[in-house]
Amino acid sequence: MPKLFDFELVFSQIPEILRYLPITLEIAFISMILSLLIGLATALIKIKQIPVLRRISAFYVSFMRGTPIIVQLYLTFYAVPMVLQYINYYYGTNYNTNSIPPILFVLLTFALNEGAYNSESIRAAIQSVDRGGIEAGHAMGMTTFQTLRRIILPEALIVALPTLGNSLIGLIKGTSLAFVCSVVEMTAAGKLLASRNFRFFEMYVSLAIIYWVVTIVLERLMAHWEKRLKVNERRLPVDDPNQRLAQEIR
Amino acid sequence: MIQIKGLHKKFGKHHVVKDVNLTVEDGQVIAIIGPSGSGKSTLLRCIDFLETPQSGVIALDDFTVDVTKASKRDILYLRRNTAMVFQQFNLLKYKTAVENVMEGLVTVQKMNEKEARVTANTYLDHVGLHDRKDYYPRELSGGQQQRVGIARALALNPKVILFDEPTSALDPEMVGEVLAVIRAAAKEGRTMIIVSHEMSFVREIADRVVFFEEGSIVEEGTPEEVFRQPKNERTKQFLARVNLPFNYEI
Ligand SMILES: Nc1ncnc2c1ncn2[C@@H]1O[C@H](COP(=O)(O)OP(=O)(O)O)[C@@H](O)[C@H]1O
Ligand SMILES: [Mg+2]
Repeated sequence: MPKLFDFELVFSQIPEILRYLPITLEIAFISMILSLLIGLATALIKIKQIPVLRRISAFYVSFMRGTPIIVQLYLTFYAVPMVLQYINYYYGTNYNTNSIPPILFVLLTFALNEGAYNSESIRAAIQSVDRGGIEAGHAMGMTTFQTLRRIILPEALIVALPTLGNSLIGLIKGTSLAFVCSVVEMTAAGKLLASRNFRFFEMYVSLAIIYWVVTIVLERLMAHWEKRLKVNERRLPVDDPNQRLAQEIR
Repeated sequence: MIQIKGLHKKFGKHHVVKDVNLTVEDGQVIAIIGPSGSGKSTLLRCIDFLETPQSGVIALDDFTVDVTKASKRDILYLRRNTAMVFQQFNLLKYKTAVENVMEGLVTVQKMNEKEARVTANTYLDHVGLHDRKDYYPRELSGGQQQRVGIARALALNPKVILFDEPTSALDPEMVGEVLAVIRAAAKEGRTMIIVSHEMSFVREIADRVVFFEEGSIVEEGTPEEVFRQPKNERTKQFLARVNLPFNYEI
């Protein structure tokens, strides 16, 4: 009987696939950072009820949440070069539509998509920030930006971190769709490698293991970070038995 | 010196502050008493534009602001030269006591961290919290939190400190420690406006007492004048209601 499942191959090929892990992580982290900026901007527009922008951002969030990411990837992939061609035509510019690195389409789409989801968690987190502290900031003469940076965002981060952590994990797994824009990240590379020996099943098992481990590591890191940020919420003052007792009773 | 002229504040149709005129000389302590809902907090909050007044003039020394024409810079000037002590303390809950006091020094006054920490420590010593510097607000009692709030105000070295019922949210046994800190600040010659229901305290430390009702100053005078021989019928009624044994005290 032929070897139906090559157990050893599952592990022996992992180092080869791992060479593509940096691309996967790069896509995930860069689009995560962009999505945080987009999400923050969208959240602030909604909170401040800025007239026209409010409509646009509501439309954007609704569209991003109402369409599949794979469709969005295709849309970007075809739309951006098309827009460039129009620009070339009407403004006499000479952008080369073929010279755009495909990874930019991927980053753009993931950032926009994730930004729409993040905007809601960021908005909720910002609105949960204690009014009193913000007021204290205003009263001492902080500018709007200083209040945002020194008071609102640090507190909102603590609230939003678990949700944003989940969204990063979702993003890492989502990067396997980058092949749509012909970017070779880990899954795409795996498929290419497997086509040499047609051991596709082993390849998917290897990939599953890698994604799973990466996710677990990230979860751990997030939990650790969250704990550090929240340290004051559970710290017991060691030098004061009464306080400690009070906390234990609580 | 702080001077308020013809100040009006409306919330919609609700006229909360009506044509208030008030002058506080340097080093003076002015106490505002009056029934709750009469607009005392709103008056204080108009001084540093936590509420935007409809009309009037606010002057700090020779800096005069017509509130109808107040620019962002004017508002920041007023806020940076006044400090507010809040009824609910309004500390930043993810910062320690010393960080709370440092915040305005570093962010607003651009003092360097080291210097700010030294200053903050001095003021925390001053309010009797030398052993609570690294505690977070939730690890402090109400009285201790309010003393941090007062240290924060003192450290900013403002032209005038506004106290909005600084002891009203405290358990009775903690009122004394907070009043003691305010009393010390008054003795040092700080200029202060204090809204308070602690009549015997007000009587003891105020240079002038203002009786405020339905958005207007009804009566104004030395504590002796206002408490012993109130001229206005409303003042008499109010003092009778708070029912203090003035003639037996002190
Ligand atoms: N932000 C606000 N919006 C609408 N009404 C307010 C607001 N703040 C205070 N008020 C109203 O203004 C009046 C005076 O309130 P306040 O200044 O808090 O009185 P006091 O401090 O003397 O108890 C009250 O009737 C209160 O309901
Ligand atoms: Mg009040």
